[in-house]
Amino acid sequence: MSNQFKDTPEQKKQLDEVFEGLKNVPGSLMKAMQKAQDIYGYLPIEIMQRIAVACNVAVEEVYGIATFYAQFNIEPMGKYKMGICLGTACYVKGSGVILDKAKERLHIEPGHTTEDMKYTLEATRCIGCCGLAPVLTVNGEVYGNLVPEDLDKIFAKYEA
Amino acid sequence: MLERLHIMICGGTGCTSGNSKKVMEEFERRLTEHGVREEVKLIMTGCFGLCARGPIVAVYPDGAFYQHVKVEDVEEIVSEHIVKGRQVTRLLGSERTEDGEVMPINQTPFYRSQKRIVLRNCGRINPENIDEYIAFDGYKAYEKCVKEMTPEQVIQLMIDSGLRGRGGGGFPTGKKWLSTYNAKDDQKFVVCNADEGDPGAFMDRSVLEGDPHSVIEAMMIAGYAVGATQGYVYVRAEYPIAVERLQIAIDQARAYGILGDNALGLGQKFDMEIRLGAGAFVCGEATALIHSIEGHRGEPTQKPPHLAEHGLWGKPTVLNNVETYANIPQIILNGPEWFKSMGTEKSAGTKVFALGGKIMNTGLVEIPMGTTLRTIIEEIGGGIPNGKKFKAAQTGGPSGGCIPASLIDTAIDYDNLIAIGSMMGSGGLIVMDEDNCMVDIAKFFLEFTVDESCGKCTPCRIGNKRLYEMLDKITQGKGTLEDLDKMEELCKYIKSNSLCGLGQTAPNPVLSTLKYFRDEYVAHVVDKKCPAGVCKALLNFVIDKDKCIGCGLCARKCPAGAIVKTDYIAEGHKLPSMEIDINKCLKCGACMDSCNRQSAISKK
Amino acid sequence: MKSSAELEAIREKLKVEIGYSCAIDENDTKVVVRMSDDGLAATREVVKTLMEEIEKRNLAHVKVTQLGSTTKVDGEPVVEVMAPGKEKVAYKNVNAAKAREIIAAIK
Repeated sequence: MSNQFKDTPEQKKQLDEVFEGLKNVPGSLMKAMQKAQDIYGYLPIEIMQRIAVACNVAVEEVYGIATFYAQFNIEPMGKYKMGICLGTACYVKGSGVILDKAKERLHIEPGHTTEDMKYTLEATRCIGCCGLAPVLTVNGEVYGNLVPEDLDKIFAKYEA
Repeated sequence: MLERLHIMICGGTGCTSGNSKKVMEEFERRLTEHGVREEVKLIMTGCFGLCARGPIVAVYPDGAFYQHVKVEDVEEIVSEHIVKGRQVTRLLGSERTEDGEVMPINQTPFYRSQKRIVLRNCGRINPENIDEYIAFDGYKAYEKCVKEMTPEQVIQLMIDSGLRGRGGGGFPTGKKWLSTYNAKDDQKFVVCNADEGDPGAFMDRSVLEGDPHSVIEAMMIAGYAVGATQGYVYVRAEYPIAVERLQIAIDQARAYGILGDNALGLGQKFDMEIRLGAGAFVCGEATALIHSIEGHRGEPTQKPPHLAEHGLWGKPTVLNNVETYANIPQIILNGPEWFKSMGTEKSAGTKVFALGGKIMNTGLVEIPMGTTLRTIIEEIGGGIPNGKKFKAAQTGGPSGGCIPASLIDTAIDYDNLIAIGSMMGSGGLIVMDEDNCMVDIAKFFLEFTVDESCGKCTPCRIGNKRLYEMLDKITQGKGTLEDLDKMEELCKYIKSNSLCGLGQTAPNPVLSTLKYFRDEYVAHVVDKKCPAGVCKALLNFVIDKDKCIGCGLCARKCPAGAIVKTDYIAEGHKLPSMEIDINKCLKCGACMDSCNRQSAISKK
Repeated sequence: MKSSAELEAIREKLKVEIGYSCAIDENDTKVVVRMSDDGLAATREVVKTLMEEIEKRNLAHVKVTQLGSTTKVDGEPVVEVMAPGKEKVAYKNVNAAKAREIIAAIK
């Protein structure tokens, strides 16, 4: 957990606007967390505390939700988030091999970020592009019909 | 001015990743350059389903169905087809009629057995234009319900149609609505399950991206029938485009006064909003989904009480899947007899399948219930690529089971699939060939369900974990025959004691593969071999001594120093062949990757 | 805010246009305009008129399509009308005026 988190005045303003907009919305806790993550990229404990106050719940509840759902990140993310789909259609067509290659190249396990904060590697759930299996995404951009050799080309794009 | 040609560019996920947006921009440019822009309407439409041959560009009314369209191809399509009326044959499909003509696309093996009802608008409308939805009888079903039918009559129609939940459970929709209708409370809700967590499934995604209004209209009909005025669509976070399209549709429906306090001036009130999932498979389960909307951890709770009596915030709630809803407007307009005329006796209508894995025509298909697996694989799917043999098809995702090649003539419907140990599931249909190991597949599914288990109940949390560990043990070559029996017993225990559907169905892939591929399990535990050549720990890397030229590259790459020179010099070769010491071999495969003569090293 | 009647008006207004988002089927009257590259200029005028007439008369299920040939077509632009259940009728050397008559003849 971070203990040196500092946000910008702009980010704080955005977060306050989110809370204002969700004031009378039933079941708004998850929405608040999702929008907060859109602003900050992840949910440090300081932000979770602010959300807890704004939504009038215990911070334990916020933390419990953050750890339950795969989409919430408690650690900061790298500049490029590479998600290799391990959905069945992709797996059956060899995405496991592609994941192994990515692990080898970045020297990290899925769910972690490289030391230089450049890449975060994720093994994702099915993203619904099964017609193009196997598939990976980098910051949302989809690369399909992959063979392991394509990884080098893809990395080259982001090294440039 | 009435445009003489409509160019429909597929905006489904697959084609979008294949640059269909850039293709559209290029069409804009080239059509303008050739001075024909006003004669043509350019439409980004929903998924055509033939994802394997995307990006797809259809030119209507001519019926040219262009495939694998790249940005570089656009100029030719414009100058030859649009301007000069000569279709670009090289971009059309390879299927030919008996006369040698290009086969019209709806007669090709991929399409001719399909019946696109849920997907009817995908490929013919711009999903971001409510007028086009309206033009194709959009919101007519809702008007019919409110103007000509009582809520009770609407519910009876749904019961008569025989529509069953398309999310996987197959529960009769009309019955569900009736229960919710009968529950008395001051407020009720209509919820749409768009969580689509099954890996390999993208049916709901395609409907939301290609025809979002069909879901809105159906939810309004449900609201009218059961007495609810508020709806929620729970969409998984991994679907940003679907969320965007649905929001645009909701905003347009509100602007037209369709959603709001007085729908079309007919006196009914209904509004809806989107709630995002956050990455949890279990939230596809009804009670978990409800708790997630309420803003909690998505942990399931005991049923009964069912959602019909005690759902969102404790109020009576209708929860149906996207595909279930997408059927409803057509059922209302065409009547229950029409719907029952398709499918089988107990499974009326059609089912959308996401065809994936080792099959030529990966994509989205919609077929009448009762179509055989053989038709799906050989005709619609175009067979197994690379000359491989069909081994099994997985339906129902991690909750389902496999259909082995011996049962390829099974007619697909809810009850037949349950009878053979699988289930319909949401519609993901993954095809596997001789190179897939069924033990590995079972392990893959368990890894998923163990990770996605919410952890609340012991049988699932601990039972499925133990099940996974046993499968892992077997794939590592450390299993015994006893383990197979123990696994089966554990499966039955987990099924009858887990709190929710995730735990209850997690053992299905194991039970199913044990039933039809026991010999493969036995090979793993007795012979310590993986017949399909997948489980690394059970493979031996072998150098063919007659093919090896003795260059020694593999030996240099080997991290374990397990490759040595032999005394054997093959005929026509100068250097002695190499050999792998299987006792030292780490099975990393580096030697095989490095071998210049790829066929010299193989896995056995 | 739209009323039920306004929705019906949208459907009526768009009924011809949406037909062009679908392939020609057995219920359609197919109007094929045939020409070679030499006849393209004349064809544009003819096709424009055909579409104007269809729009004016609000004729759904009448589909105009161009069929280009690499060799000269005798009497181009030629317009062939194939109505369901009827024999094919071919018109040669069609111009804008003739195009209007052709559409008028389609019920």
